Amino acid sequence: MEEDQSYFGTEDIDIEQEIQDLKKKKTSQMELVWLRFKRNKLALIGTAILFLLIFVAIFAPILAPYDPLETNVARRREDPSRDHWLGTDQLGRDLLSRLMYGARIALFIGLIIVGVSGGIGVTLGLLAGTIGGWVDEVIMRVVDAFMSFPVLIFGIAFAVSFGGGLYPVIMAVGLITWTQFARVTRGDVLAIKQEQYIEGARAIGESRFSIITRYFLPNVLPSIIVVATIQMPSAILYSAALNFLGVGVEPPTPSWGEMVNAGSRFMQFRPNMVTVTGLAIVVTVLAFNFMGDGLRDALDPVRRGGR
Amino acid sequence: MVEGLKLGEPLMVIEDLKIDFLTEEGTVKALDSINLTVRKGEIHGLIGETGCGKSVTSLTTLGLLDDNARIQGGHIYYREKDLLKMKEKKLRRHIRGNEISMIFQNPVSSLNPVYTAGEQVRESVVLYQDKNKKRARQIVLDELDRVKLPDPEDVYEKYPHELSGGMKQRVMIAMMLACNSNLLIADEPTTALDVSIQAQFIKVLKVLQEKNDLTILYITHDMAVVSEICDRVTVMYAGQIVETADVHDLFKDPKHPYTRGLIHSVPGVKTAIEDFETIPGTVPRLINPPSGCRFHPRCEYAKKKCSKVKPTLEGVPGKNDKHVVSCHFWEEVE
Repeated sequence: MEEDQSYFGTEDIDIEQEIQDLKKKKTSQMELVWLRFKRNKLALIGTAILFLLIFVAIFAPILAPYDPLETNVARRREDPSRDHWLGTDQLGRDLLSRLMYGARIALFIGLIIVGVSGGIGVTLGLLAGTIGGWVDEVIMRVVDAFMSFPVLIFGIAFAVSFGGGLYPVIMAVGLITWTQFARVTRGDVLAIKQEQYIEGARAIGESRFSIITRYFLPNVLPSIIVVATIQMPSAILYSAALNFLGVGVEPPTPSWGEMVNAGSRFMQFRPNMVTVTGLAIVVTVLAFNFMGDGLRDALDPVRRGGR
Repeated sequence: MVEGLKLGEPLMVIEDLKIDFLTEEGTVKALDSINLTVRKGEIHGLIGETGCGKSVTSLTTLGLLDDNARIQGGHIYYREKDLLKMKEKKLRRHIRGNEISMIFQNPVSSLNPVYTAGEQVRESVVLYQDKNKKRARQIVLDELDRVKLPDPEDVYEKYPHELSGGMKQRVMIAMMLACNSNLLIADEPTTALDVSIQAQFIKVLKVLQEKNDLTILYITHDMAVVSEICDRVTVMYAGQIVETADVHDLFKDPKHPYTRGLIHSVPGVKTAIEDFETIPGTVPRLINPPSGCRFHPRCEYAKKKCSKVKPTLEGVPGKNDKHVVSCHFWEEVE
């Protein structure tokens, strides 16, 4: 060290300081994930779009040029113009404003549905994987049963029998799309079960509960995050589809599904409404899928180390 | 420290332990009437070939066997309480970690990848030593230092994937030592380590045993390590105990043909390939083990009786029951 210092000139370099800096620089888990995520350009674009969408959804009242509920019978079904950038709908409401407010509803619905289905799925998956035996058998057969159910039919039946409206639809979709979470969680748990740190945890006398919450859960979390980002768009799609069919958010609240529905009625001569709204749905869904893909690759331990 | 137990008194006694595994191919008779006494303060070596039931024995003591295992009989007395009769909850609260802890063989997967090394050692400190977070941290650093990890402060903050195999193994050991238990079961703890680190680790264990009156059950197939650190040695073959003796007696004067074969088949650095002996044949599959003495198909001294009658452990005269061997004709073995 002494020679090195004199070689570089002692005034400029403080070796101790350098060592401290180097230690601080060590990359954390999150940074590594970010480094891998960055390589996937599509995922970056998807993430950017999502951030934009969230921004728009949050600041819709400020950004929207018009009140989304304000009708103007004199200017119905207009093509895009300087006043109405995307045109107007069958009641003369500004499409751009309705689209912005619709983003709020779409994201909100997606988030809650994923929350509900994730909560149910992860809990059942953890139970099935850790307890095993007949509990596993029963839970997985229930999963099979739910997977064979058509989502839309169940959604309509459930939502209608609970009086329609937003929350029954959310519950309906949440209650039927949890299966993916359960399957992925259980699969991961079965793999992690073989790891010696689980045996080690038992050997130092950890309780079953803390083994589940402190050992299994954090280790399946990456997979759960990925499933969540991939389930988000399908949740949005399902709720839009149900909306299109007339269950869910009540008019005049702007929702994308209802807007596509309304637009489809005059799409031969005024295609802008259905196109623009449909595009919004497609872009959102794609953005989520791209981000999910990127996250899966970045978090997948099998690909760690390799490119 | 075990109250009321002096050095050399039996700490854990395994009696006639029989364990089967139910598999799709049939019942595997993994343990066939195991008898083993671990005495307070000793390092007891348990050696044998892969698949002879060493690890099963150790997992049984902690009640960590897989679901397809069936305990067909026997007892494990730990300080006179039968562990096999204990409820899961009681085992967890009073035995695992508290009284008996265990070092596993594969350091690469024995640490939880989502927590730092320090956090994991702190887990056992919080469970068994001190709940106060600040003091626990200091204890962890001491423990890391005790297993000779360089720069404990730095290691504390590192995730398992940032550590080398040897370092992970030492973190694992620190985690188990932090439990402050009386009996440490080390299941092939050095198989994944370089010889130089192996040597360091063995020294650490030896020091701990002497300073803390720690009792260690050391499971391995490495004869050199056994001769280096163990006080007493038990040799297993195909789910049976073949011979138990003090380490010097075992290496100087092995009684069982299998033990002899085992000792002679250790290659030395200077032995020429032609010079070392091998035991003919391979370890039998335990789904359909040989009748009588399980070693008889490979034994050069085998007679008719060996395939018919299962030998029991007999004491070697003059050794005060400290040297026992399970062979009908051990007196004839040269």
